[in-house]
Amino acid sequence: MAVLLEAKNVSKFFGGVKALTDVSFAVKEGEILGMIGPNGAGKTTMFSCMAGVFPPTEGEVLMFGKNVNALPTHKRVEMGMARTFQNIKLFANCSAAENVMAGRHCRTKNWLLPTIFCTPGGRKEEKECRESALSYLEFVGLGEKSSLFARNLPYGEQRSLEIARALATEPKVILLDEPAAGMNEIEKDALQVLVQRIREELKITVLIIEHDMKVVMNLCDRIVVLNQGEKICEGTPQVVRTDEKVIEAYLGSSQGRRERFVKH
Amino acid sequence: MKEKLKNIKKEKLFGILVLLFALTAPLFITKAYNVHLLVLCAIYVGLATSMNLILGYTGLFTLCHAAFFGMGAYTTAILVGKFGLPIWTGFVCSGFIAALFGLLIAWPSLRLRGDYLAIVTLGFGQIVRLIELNEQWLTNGAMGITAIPKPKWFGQSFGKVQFYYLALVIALLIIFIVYRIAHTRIGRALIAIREDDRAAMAIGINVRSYKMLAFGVGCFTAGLMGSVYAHYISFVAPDQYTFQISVNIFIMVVLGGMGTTMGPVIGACLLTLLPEVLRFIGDWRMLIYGLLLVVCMIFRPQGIMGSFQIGGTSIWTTIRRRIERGKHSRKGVE
Amino acid sequence: MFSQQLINGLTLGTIFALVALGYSMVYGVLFFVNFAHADVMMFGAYFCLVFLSSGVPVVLSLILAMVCCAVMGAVIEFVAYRALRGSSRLAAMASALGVSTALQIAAQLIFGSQTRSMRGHLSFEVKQYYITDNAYITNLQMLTIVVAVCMMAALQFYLKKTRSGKALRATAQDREAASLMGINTNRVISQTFMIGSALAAVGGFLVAATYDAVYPTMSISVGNKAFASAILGGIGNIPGAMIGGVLIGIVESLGAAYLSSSYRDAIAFVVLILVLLIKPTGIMGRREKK
Repeated sequence: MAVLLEAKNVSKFFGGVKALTDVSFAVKEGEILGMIGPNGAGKTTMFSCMAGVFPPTEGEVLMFGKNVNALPTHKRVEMGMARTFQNIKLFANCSAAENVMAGRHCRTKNWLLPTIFCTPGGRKEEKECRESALSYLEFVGLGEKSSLFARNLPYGEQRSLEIARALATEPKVILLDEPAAGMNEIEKDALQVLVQRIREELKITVLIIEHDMKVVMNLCDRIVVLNQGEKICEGTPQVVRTDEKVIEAYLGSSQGRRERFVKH
Repeated sequence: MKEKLKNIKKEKLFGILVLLFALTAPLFITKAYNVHLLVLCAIYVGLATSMNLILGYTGLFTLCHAAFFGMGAYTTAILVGKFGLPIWTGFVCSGFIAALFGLLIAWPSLRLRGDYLAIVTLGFGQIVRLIELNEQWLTNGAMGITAIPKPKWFGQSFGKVQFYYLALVIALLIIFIVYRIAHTRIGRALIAIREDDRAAMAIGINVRSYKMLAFGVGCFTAGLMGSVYAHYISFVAPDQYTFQISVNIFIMVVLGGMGTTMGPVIGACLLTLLPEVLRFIGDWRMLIYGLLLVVCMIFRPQGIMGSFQIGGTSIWTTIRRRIERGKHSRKGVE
Repeated sequence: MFSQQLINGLTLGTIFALVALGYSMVYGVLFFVNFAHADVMMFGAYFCLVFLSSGVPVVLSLILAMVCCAVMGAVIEFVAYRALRGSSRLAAMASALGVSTALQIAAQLIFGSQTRSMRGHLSFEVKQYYITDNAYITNLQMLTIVVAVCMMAALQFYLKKTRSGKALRATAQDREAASLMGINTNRVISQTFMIGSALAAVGGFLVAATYDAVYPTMSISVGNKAFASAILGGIGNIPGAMIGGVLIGIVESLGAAYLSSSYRDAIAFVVLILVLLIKPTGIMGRREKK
């Protein structure tokens, strides 16, 4: 299996604060990799390094085997990486369809001249763009709601819309930042199904940060655990669930809570 | 969906009516001064629309549109008036010079956010004005450049009516360009940047270069209008392109409705004609003008045409809601 | 010459800082630029002039002008901004520009558009005291610096030590949370406008005395530079506004003396642009919220 995305000895310092120290892991093609850790473990920092919000202080981020430390986010998206945000970031005053069509940006080419002179080629691309946007909306189950303003959608559907928008960039790997946060049980189940389908039907590799243990344990093939900026464990859900260090990081040493944790 | 379609239809119908009026206006508006006002309206419609691309669609708060307008006018004045080059070269160069300087100021300053950009552009406008005022060798200083030739039409110099149609054609051209840009791929990128620039980046939009593009096209079109204006009034002086003009253009866009096609058109006509309509109250007219502006903003904060896009509400609901919102004021002015 | 320009610049800068505080405080709480602030400052200068010319002593007329401007600021906030609080920032700014136009024209109508002298009404002569052979400081300049510094110190005291000052800072941090803590944010916002406007009145008086001129459009040039000072220091940041004001004043005086006096108004902006290119949030600006 090819490695799509890799962190090699990544460290990130903010002033004197060490957010990440020497973290390495790889996202392999076709898997769903989870990243967990208690609050302040450096998950979001790791995510930002991978998505290109800021470069790591030390170490490298590799995409398809190439060092992308210096590449800005939009270039990485062109290469085949997409992401969603922890606190949903949609284009609130645009319709759902327009949101996803914006996501088609880097897979379409219309520039000033075809835009202004309505060339046939330009119009064709515009039509294709709309159609494929609608198909992505249908994929996440929002086919009926394409003309609604993003800000008027309920919370769960905003999450789905954000995922549809990310999928519209035709990524090879998608980074989901706490997609289940704030969802109820039904929505969480639907999300799990959606993530599975992203992998099975669209053949997209998934890297997912999540707090909800149930979701992570059900979904992920492998899990990376961070604590205080360091990787403390990596492996299948079974391995992680029973790892002493992980349990300690999450729960300290209370016996009762331990048992509940292992049960999930 | 139906609601939205209906609104789009309404807006289109409205646009066609306005266009018909604009095309036939000189037939029944014949008094020289009134035709002059029509020309000004057409020019400001063009300027407000070009600013709408930057402010309304891309969400960049600039306060120096008049500077680019002036740059276009000065380019024309210098090339055509001073050096006697053909008029069309002056026209094209005006656009490109304005765009060039627009990009020059945009390139470093577009990484600034919101109001920081506003002050930088405000400062830039001041600097441009001072250059126009002080570089005598180029601009004749405060005296300005006079005797810019008027274009000819079958051997006759352009009169007011011909200028009106010229300005109208350019304004329509600008509206068309901005409309096309705003409603296709590039426009979606610009609107994405306005709504949330981090999300825009995350879907592969090169935020900076699209901001530059909006700025470049906006300044280019402002420059073209500047050239028309220079020919029309046949002289240029630094006082014509002050901060106050930039502010007026800004208000036209906001009052009319940012990010709409008809908004800047209505805003520009309204703000150009309002002081004239208020002329009967003499010295008080600009005072009333200012207060009316406040009242308009309170009642229609999304702008006059904003309602076409965000489900229209009657003016009375608007008043009630405003007052209630003021009382509770839960959310920030965002 | 250098030290002379430094003194002039410092004087000017403290005035800019006073006016900048108003911009910065309002921005800190409401996140929009109150373009009418400079016009309140201009009115402050006129109020002073009116009181002085009707025989009121300097200190008392300054206090009266501060009160008038404070009321004016609160009224403007109530009429023009309160209803717009939930809408876009740009709508509030357009409204502010409307108020600014109206105030300027109102000043022209009430006081006339000619330039009026201020110093004639002061109860003291402007004298020069030589510090070195070729640098002097006038008693007016000393007064300006002392008054401005006192005002800023008082403001700091108010913000740091008093109950309502703390409420103001809390509101600036997070309005919603502040209102949940039982702070009447509407009253706090009114207070912000009142304090800013009162400081602007002092600024207006000092500008008028320094240039010995009161005229309706004085708001534009001083206002723009005060706005620039607020941004330079990092808008929303009060010590930043003070530093920004002093810096702009000094740079402007030195630039006008050594580079080109005809580009006097541009120098401050060039410096501002250069600083922002290096530090996009201003000197003391906090990092953008994520």
